[in-house]
Amino acid sequence: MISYLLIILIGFSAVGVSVVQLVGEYLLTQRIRDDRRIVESTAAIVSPSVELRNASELYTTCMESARNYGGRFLVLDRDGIVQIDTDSELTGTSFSVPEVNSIRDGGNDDYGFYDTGSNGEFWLHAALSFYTNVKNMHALYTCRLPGSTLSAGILVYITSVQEIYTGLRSIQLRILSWLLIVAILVLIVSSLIMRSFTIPLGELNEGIRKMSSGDLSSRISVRGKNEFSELAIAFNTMSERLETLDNSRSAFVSNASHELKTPLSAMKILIESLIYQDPLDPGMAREFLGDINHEIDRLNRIVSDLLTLVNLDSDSTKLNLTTFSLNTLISEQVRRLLPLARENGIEINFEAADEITLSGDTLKLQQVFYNVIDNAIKYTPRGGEVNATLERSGRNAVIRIADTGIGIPAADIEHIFDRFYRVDKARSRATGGTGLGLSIVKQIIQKHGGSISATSTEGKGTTFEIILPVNKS
Amino acid sequence: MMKISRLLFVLFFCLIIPVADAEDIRFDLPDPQSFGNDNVSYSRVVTLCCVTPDASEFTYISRNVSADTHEELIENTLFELWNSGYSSDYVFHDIPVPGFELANGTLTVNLPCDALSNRSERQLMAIAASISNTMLAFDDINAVNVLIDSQSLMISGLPIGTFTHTIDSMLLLHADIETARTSAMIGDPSVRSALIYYPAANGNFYLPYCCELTIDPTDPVTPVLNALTSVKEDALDLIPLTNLTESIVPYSISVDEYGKRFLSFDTTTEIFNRSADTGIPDKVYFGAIVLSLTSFVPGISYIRISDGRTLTRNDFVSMIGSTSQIYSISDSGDPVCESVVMGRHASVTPVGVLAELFTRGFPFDPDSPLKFAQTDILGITISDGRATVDLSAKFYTRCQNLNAEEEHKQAYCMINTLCVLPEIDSVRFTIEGKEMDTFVHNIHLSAYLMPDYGLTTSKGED
Repeated sequence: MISYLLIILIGFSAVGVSVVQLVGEYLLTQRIRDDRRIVESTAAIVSPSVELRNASELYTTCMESARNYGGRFLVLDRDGIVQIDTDSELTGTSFSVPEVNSIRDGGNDDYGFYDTGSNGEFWLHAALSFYTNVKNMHALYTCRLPGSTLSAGILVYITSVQEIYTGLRSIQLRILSWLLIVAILVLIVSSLIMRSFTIPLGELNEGIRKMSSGDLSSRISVRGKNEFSELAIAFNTMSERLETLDNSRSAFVSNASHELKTPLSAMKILIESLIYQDPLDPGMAREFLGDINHEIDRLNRIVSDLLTLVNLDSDSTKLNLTTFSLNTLISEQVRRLLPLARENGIEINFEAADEITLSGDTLKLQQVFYNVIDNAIKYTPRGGEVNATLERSGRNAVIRIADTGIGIPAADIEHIFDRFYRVDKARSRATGGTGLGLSIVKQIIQKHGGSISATSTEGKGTTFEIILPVNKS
Repeated sequence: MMKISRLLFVLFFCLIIPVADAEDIRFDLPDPQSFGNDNVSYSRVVTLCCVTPDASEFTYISRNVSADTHEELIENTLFELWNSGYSSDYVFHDIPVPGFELANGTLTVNLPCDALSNRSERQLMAIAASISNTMLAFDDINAVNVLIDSQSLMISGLPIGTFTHTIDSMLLLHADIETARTSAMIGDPSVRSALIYYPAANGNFYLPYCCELTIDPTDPVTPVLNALTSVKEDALDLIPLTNLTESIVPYSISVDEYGKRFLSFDTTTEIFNRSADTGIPDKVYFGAIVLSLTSFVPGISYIRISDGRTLTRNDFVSMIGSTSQIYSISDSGDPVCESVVMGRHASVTPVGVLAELFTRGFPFDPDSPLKFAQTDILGITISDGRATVDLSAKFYTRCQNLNAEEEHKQAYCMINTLCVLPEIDSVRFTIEGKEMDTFVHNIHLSAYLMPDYGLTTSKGED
């Protein structure tokens, strides 16, 4: 704000000074021109009296000119001694100012500006010294008088230019007054404007401060519709996402800890049973070791899935893109899982309405369809069906995998892609799931620019719909 | 001898000054040295109006005239006129150089009676015009009255009056003469300029004043007497002779046993009473009448009054005075310009007017604003209009404590007073013969300074 004020002050001052200077120069130039004419004409009039040394006529002529022109005339001799002074103050004294000395030294007619004191002193001034407190500014003109026979040789005309200086000072004061008024107005207006800036910024700052201290629930109020409201909305969105992410992270860490701890606890119990069993039953020991091995496998899968997710989360992960037939890829996964389906007494089908070729990471997409179909088989009771379909919809390939399984409660359907989220935790763990499968699926689909969604009716089955963008060709 | 007198002067000065002005502030003066004297030297180029031998025209020649006094300058100018070129061959060769009176801006030239011998009216008029044309060129002369043997010139018995302007050509002069003759013959009144001598306000002098009179050929006396009864409003220095005509009428003109014409008044005691009423001494009262009438009415040698006394012009000539402007300082310290009536010789000399100024504030009072009272004038030299005034150290010493304004007044009172004289246009000062650069403050004493007419206003204007 002070910067604005300074800029305005400097600007106004520059304009003010320039205006005063220009007006002053114009007025003084006009005045100098007129006064020089007066001096020259008076010099021509008084010259005969000077030549004749007629002091009476010289005085009368000078007085008449002084009355006509409203100034003061001095007639100096060649030595600079005042012979005639229409104010009768300086007669007989030496009048030594630079303009007079210049003529005495052979120079030309000249003029200067002087402030005069009450005792008749003359103080030389610069032409436009408006900033000094001049009281009685006078212009002084000198003119050489013709003739050499008489001692009088220089005519000096002194005229007040105080009215010009007073006028200029008045303009100066007026500009200064306006400057102050404008400065005050600017101060008020800029304060109001700055408040509209500083309040949202302060709120934002406060929100950031709270956020940095760990309070991600902090939101800032959105006022109006401007850049600051957009910033507030963006901040709030960011806060929400960060809060969600933080919650997810917390949940993830909690879930991951729980998932990792479960097999470890089982293994600890089994190993302690073996340690404290005396005598050791070889059959039981083998069984326990088999269980331990099973828990290790499970732990290994969890860790593998976590690594896969971490890799997928990383932006640096690059897809190994190849062009392949989606029909073939899906049918292969169906075929791979066909034994499992038969084992569980589930019929599995795949129907493709269109032949679709797309560009993608075949290994990762194989994992997607494997996981989804595998899930469908696991949560479909014996005698059920799992049907996979493929069709083109515009520029997308739409894959639907529908089962006739137990379905997912509506409250859980939106969390099924969360990490370590299980609808039925006991059943899921029993089926050997890690709780990361659908998260991995979603990540891979999103990496390919597609999307995955699920619709489910509890007790009737669930349908996953995967949409993948198809090659332009 | 000169050295001894100079030494005595210095010795006298050194002894007297400290005693006389013990109250004055002392200061170091340069060694006094001889400078100038009490005389004034004038030098001026004058234009002489001469008459050609056949009296048919005027011719003009220039002469450089020098003199020690202003009156001597007038005298020398007349001398040059008498002895120059054409004039001496024909017109003036047998006439002695005349006497004259310069007073109050008027010049009365009194030709000797020899001028009348074998000269016609026209020749006498040519002589008078030549004199007036020459003398009116002087700045301080604005009227010239030419008399012969103290009697007025006449044309056909009527006075020619006073010359107040130059007559450019002889033809014009002849035309004037013819007009006057015709007027005299047919008895028409005519207008003439006349010098009327009024008693001065101070009662010691007569001041000539030039008036226009309408003259009846049968009675040139009454207009003069009427003129004496009143003065113009601006003539503050003059005293009119109120109710004069009632007292002295009638008069008569007679011729005595020597063939001289005289004018006699049948005065009564009443006139003396009246003169007593006016406060004017009777001698002064009659002197004004005698001077005015004899200077204008032609052929009158003297005036006889009823008590048998005969009064001639010469009885009162020495009492003709003149006015001069004296710039002084009032008791309140303000510069004032006074019109002072002085003896006619003193009024035209620098020493005279300066001495008159220095009588102000007598005796000297240290508290008085007049610091030049009783200052000694050691010498005045005038050359080419520039006066150098040498003053005694007394004045300079007294001025040591003055401020710039007071100093200005002191200096310019002297300068203005001196520059009233037509022969002076600027003044410089020396102290005891030594040039002083500046006065106590800023006034440049060594520079020739012109008068400062803004110094004061005259008392008459107040």
